Amino acid sequence: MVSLDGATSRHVDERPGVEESATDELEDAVRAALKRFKWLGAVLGVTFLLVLWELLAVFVFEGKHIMPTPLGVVGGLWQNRVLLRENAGITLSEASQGWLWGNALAIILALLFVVSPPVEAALLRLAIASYAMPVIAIAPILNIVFGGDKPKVVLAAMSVFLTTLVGMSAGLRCADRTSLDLVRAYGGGSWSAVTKVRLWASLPSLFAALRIAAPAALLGAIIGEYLGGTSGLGVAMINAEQSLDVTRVWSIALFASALAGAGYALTGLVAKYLTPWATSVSTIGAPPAVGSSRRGRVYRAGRSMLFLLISVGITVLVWTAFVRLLHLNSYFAKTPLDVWKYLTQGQSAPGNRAILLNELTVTLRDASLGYVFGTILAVIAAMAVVTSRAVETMFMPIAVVLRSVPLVAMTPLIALALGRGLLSVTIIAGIVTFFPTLVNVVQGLRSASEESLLLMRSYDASRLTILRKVQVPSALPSLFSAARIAAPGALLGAVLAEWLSTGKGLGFYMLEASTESQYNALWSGVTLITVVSVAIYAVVGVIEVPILRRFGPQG
Amino acid sequence: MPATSTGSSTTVASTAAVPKSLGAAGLQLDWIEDIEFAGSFIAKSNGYYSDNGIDVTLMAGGPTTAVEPIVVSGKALVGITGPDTVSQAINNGAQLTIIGASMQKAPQAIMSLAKTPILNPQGMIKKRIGVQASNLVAFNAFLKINNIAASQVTIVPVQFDPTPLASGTVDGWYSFITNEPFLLAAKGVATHTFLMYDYGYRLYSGVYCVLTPNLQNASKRAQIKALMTGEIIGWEKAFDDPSLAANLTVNVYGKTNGLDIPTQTKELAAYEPLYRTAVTLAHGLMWMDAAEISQNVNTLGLLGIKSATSYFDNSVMQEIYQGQSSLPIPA
Repeated sequence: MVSLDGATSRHVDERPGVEESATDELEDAVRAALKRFKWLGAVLGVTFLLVLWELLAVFVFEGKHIMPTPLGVVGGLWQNRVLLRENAGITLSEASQGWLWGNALAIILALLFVVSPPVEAALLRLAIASYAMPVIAIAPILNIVFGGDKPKVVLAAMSVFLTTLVGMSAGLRCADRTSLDLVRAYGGGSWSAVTKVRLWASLPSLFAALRIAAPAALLGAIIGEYLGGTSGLGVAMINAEQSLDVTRVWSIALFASALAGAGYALTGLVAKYLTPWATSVSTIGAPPAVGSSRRGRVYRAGRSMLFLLISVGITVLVWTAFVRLLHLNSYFAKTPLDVWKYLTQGQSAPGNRAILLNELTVTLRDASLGYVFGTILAVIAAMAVVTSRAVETMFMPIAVVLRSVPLVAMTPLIALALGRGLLSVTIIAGIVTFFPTLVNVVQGLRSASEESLLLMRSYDASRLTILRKVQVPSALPSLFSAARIAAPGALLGAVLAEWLSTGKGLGFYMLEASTESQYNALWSGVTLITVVSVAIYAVVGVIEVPILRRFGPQG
Repeated sequence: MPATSTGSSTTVASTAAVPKSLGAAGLQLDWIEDIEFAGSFIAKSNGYYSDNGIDVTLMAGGPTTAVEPIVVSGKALVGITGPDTVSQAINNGAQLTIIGASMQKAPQAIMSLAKTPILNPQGMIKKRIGVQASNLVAFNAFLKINNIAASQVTIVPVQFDPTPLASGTVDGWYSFITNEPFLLAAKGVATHTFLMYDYGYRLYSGVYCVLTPNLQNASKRAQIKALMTGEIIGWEKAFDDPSLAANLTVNVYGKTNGLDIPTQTKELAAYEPLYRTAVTLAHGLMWMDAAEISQNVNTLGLLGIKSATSYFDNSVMQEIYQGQSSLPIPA
């Protein structure tokens, strides 16, 4: 679809023979074998997963109607093949429409952002808010505003929008400084910088985001189907769960995971074909957070405050306009003013605030446990993945499967297996955290400059030393860009788990509010979660600056 | 079947007259398309809606569907939901009115093993009863109605899988007469159930709600009447011809939902006594008797939900039946 000539000229760099300088002969052999039989690693990984599953099913959950054996599920897949095929078509169509819309919007907005930083400062928070909104809570509104299958498409689009926006923005910004200066020297403006340099530079990062987007869109569509629908994998799952047909539930879940995994793999293949230089980008420019103004702290603080106010203003305006222009009934559609009154005016306001804050504390505890747990695992996994190709081919399919499991459907099952306590919430929030962190950190570790790697290797540095001295520092930015996605994600995961199973925290509070038609409480909950998520996102950015200044790669 | 044979032979005006077109309307369901809506499927496919001049779109729901806002927004003309959630919506400013009740008796039941049956509320004393977290309020209200102190029964928190009853971990199980007994039957476990309704838990289930101002608007009211007429005839047909009901549900409307004929047929049979009660045999399906309405308000009060008889309006049913006890099913 695109000619890469302009881009590759800068990147045609060698993939030097350094890979052959492996230390361990055994690993050499394994790698050679894996090179010949690429699928072997994946097979090993999946086999490991299957054995673990069989053991769990037989020894831990036997007779509890929670977990069928792998063999049972294979039978289920075959028995339900017609059901799966018919519903998959529907879900895939919703997901791909959402994928298209969400990504297109994100890419356009990212381009706009890089050309005009003030637009970014004003709109980025709105974009984050769209990601941070607990969709399960705003579902009734989506159902009313968009008819038919559109809510599912919207949810799929919302699930991919921010990750692509962040990925694309980061990519556009990591363009080579020298090339940018060159464009400027020849009198090119910011648009020529975009078309001549930045666009090409953004492709690896864009594709990394698009890979995540594929399973995410599918999940969004399935969540949408839980809102109600005539057909689709989510709808089929509802009946399977109601009839306690665990084999069918798992068959559908696994099938959905496989579809999501296929989407991930396919995007990866396309990326490999279109951006062959992706893994050996030799330099990464300083990320935006560092390259900010050189002026004083007071100036910067004032500027941030100004843009914060503008963002809040725009949000309030858009929200109010949304309710008013669509003539949504005031019984369920509350405006920012309603929420403000609910929280600050009248006798019940202090009580309303106290309840919300109390529930928020529970949710934050749930989310942070999940986040820490997910991030630690993801970082360990990422290091293992970049250190050993064998681990990568074995492990990545497992990670993708984990990411693609439809959480809405699995949450009740996880709760059945592990109870309705903290453990379930932690695991669910952890799963949400794990995947974006893994993918980003792997990408970050790989982005270490070839020069540094060569240097280290010429000194005969061990793999671990290279990892510690070169790769980890160069991965720090990616850990933060992952945190921006994963930390609000963990919060949403916690809300979802609370809503669907644990009966505690802000998630459950919103569920109660929704069934009792307490829409003021519901909208206040949604607002609170969104504000907190956006704040977390901002805090990550603030912490990022000094750390990147110290450890970040130099442009 | 009594409903059709006892009805007098006079024809009801709405079906005899040539129907004029009343336009299109949506019916919001509160679950995915399964046997719970068999009457609507039959009304749609046998033309009972269109015979009355209305083109009805069935809007499938799911676990997170909130029916009331959809009716309030006008996306659906009529919504099927619970008397509890409608009352709470009205309490919070929704202009809604309940115009008919499909299940005259709520399906909540206490299930026990057939070999050690619990026959009535008093039988629960000193027994272990499995109750799901979301049903605790209702169960405690039920104890109160029957003058049983909470300390006289051991409540065991459970999930929705009734296996603990089969394995003897508990003696009784809070369930829905239309669901859990079949889950155990499928595993070869025979059960006994009694309806909570029969012991004072007087509550409707699956009520039809509409926007209150629409009842005063002549053309909207005509649409509502036409839709409900189709709905009533559809349900009469469903109980008279269960195989048609199951077939339409499994092979047409719920085709991609993984349903099966035997289970859906059994469930339909379980719904029948909840729809066809003394009241509806005398006045027609969906009819709301004044005494039952007050009982609903009382029960809702015990559940901590404010309700009022003014939330219910039987006048649409009165106009539809015009003194008859059933509507004739077109040949």
